[in-house]
Amino acid sequence: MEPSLRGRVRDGDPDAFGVLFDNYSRAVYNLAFRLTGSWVEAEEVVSLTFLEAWRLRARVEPDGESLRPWLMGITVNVVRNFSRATRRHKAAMARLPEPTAVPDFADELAEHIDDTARLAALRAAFGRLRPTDQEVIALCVWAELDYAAAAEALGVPIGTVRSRLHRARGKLRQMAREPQRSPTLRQSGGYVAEPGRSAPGGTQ
Amino acid sequence: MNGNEISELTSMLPPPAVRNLPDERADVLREHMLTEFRRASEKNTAVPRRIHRRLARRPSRMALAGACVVAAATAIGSFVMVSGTGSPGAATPAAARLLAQIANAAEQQSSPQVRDSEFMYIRSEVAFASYTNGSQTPTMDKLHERQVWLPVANVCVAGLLIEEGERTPLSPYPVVNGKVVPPSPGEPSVTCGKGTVNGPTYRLLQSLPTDPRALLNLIYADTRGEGQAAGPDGEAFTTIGDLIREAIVPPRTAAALYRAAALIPGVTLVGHVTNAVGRPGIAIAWTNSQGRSEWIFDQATLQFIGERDYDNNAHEVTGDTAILQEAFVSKAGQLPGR
Repeated sequence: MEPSLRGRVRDGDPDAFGVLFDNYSRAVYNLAFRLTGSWVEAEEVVSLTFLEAWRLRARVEPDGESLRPWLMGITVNVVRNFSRATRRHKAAMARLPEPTAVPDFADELAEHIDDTARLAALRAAFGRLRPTDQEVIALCVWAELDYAAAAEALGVPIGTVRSRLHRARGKLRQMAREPQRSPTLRQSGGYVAEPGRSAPGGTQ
Repeated sequence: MNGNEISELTSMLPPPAVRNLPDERADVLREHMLTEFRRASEKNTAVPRRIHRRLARRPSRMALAGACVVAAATAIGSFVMVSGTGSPGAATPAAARLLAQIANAAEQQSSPQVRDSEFMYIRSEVAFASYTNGSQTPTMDKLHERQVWLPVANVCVAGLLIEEGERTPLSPYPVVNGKVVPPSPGEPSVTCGKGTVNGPTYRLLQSLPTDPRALLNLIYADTRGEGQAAGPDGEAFTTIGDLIREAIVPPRTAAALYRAAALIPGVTLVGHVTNAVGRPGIAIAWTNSQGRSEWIFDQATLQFIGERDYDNNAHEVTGDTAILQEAFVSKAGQLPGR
């Protein structure tokens, strides 16, 4: 029998990771941008995500469906622990060629978008959610995973995914009603913590 | 019923621009990754020289790896084929017969004259379960009224949702303080117009293929790779459910959607059900290990009158709706004349 892609990923076949990269690097890149708000950082997250996937490959079950949820989960974790992931793969990241110095047209466009009220409003609302709720939204709404796949990616029960989404919806509805506060600026690690509020964890 | 919550969240938190890694940069990242991994696997698979010589008679590692790539490409190709077309088979004969009748009834409806500036108005009674504090046991909402106004021709025109006393504009743009934050000129991130299968307007529904197989293939293609747990067939059923749930579906499109549903393996018939307000009906259902989704149709008129979701693990109803009124109106927030 031919070894499955999962089996080959698990066995550490570099070419299998080439296939993974071709299939999912775009999804990883966009999810990373949505969580970090930075195209430059998103690029580093892509590299770190695949380096982490390599490191964690033994945890891949030989049987199952698409590896997309697994990679999306790793992406979320890399963004959450960006500095830790960077430290872990310091040597490999040092060997990564720098992006070209001249910003391309697309970068200017991205900067333009950064300036709009639309993105500011989005980041303001999104940034005031708990980090765990932000991750569930990123996976279920933006990466379009279903509840079960998001649960698998985050390593939490499906009920937790549902309740976090439900809570996020309630919070966003409430925010839509209350007077607008100034947008909170993004801090390191990609998440925006509400002032005076402890960031990660939540009470699940 | 994931659809409602997700679509509301999407409307409140529209994603920023989707962009591809520039191709040259993607190549650099990919090459860097593969170099790192080959370096690592060489370190890990270094074997003593004597054993290595014995292995040398076998096909080389690289040749094997190459063969694997071809095998993987074939495997992926066939996976795409499968998810692009669904499993072989179709709905059960009883379900297919009922869906054929439902499609014929839908096709008999007259096609209304609709202006681009108008809105679809749908009034329903709904109750959905929520799972609070990570509990595995769903708690049902109280049944309550829900009213939506959805643009006929352009997804960028703000619609409106009134539910549980709250008015929420529905827009692909962010809503702050109950107002839509308009995009800056030239901003490319939202594609205005008639929408997509996952966020349709009436005009999009009108433009869908009326050949059931072509329509189903389009739905399979559109939902490919999504909903891994449900599989392509479950995802196709869910997508059709999303299209009919809260929309006025043009007669020919409705007929095609129901005929397409009859081609989905695993679709079954459930007799003697009632919608959320107790109107008796007959249902078309999809079941998987998580639970069952039912579309309920009036026993006499065969019109869509609501939905019911059932959670197999909790053994409870997790979604219960009844469609009460559908009409076209000229403004969001306006009620249809009597």
